[in-house]
Amino acid sequence: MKPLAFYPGCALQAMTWDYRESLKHAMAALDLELVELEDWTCCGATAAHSLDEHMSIILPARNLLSAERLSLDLAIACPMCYKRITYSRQMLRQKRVSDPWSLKLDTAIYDLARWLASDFLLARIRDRVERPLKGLKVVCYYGCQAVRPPKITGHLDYENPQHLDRLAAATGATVLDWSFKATCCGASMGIPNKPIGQALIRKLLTWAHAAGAQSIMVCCPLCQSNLDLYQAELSQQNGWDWQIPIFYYTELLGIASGLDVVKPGLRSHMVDPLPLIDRIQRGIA
Amino acid sequence: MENNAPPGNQTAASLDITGREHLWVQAIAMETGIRVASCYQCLRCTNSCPVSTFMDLKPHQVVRLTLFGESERLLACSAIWVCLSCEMCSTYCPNEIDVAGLMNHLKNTVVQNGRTPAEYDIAAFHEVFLDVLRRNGRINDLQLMQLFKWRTMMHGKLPSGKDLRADLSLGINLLKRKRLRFLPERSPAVGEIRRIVQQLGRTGRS
Repeated sequence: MKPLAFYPGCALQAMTWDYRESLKHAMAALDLELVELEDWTCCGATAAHSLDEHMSIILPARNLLSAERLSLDLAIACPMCYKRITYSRQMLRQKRVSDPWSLKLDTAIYDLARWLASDFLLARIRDRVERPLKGLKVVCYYGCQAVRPPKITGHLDYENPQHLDRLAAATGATVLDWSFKATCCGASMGIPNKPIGQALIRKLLTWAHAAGAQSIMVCCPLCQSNLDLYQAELSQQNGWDWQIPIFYYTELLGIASGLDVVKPGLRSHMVDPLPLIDRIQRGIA
Repeated sequence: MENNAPPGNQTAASLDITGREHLWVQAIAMETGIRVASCYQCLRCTNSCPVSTFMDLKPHQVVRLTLFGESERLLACSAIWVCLSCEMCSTYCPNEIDVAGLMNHLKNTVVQNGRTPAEYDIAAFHEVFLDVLRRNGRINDLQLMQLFKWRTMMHGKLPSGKDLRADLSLGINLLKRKRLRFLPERSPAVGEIRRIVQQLGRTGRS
């Protein structure tokens, strides 16, 4: 299989190195090759478009130039970056802004999680699973950017997306249904305005718990950070007697494939997921 | 949030229809393709919005007031900054009005006109984000947080002892887990990014 150009995004540099490392190992285990864009730059996220729509189209396009130089299709790890870069390509194709690099704009752009959940790769993942996570009750949380708005992402399953559910099922986990798959986690709002951020995170955790989930599987660095970092504080405020580990899909794929190299990343979570994994693997959860 | 009466009740008497406000609606349609005149106030945008309870004007009111040409009120409201751009409203509008795009256009207009954003901290976070982006071409979380805290402190928001302890404890936890990096990673393409941010953005000046 031809390698893919890889855009990691800012979060994966340091804050979510657990996602970066587990992704690297999971891809290697599946014999898939990613070539990181050496000169990748930030997509601008929410800040760029909030202040200057025009700039928010040009900024991510710089990465399309890097991918075109490699003549490879582009895989993106973070849903926010995925949406910003896809949106930028669409606006440039429509000639809504002038393009300083004369891009060809023919690069295919993949959301890594959705790409891995294609039938062909899913079969490969199932073959690779050695220690199925039998009995692990998980809800999948997609967030906004991986699905909405359908006019940009092109995905018609924006109300009830399935690709993470398929990946979780491939690890042998029990996937539960719930109504908050694509409800916003508040992204970075918790930093300038804590009450708004925490209200949204509390809602998601409460409903995941109510659905009977022992864990939440996510594909977005921002969603993972929000649900994980603030959980202890919210738990104290609300008198919860439970906590829910938040996994990246790549971490669950890694554990189920017997890749112990993902464990240091798991130890870096705020809500320690290792006791739960241990119980599942010993069949006593 | 106590003032939740529909906008019609508050503005009907003072609404000064001169005809010019329609130029604003048309200018928005020309520039963004967003046609607020298609709105029949079904409230689907407001009902789907995860943060409408935190807004002084609800999304359907923003759409309606745009049609009325109430630009002063809209550019001074906090709702446009509270909007998360999660795109629920734009996805569910039966008339395909890009409500999140309208919110964003209003934010852009506040910035272009050099007005003071109604939500200082939220706007400051965006500006600091672009400042870090301009420096490195990529975001460094530690630098972002330091500059943001500094900026809000300079603006007179001194953190309480409790907030300070919470921030410090989170910071230490993140450092222990190697989630913060002291030295920002710089993109080899940072020069090009600086030109983009300086040509187009305002934050290049700061």
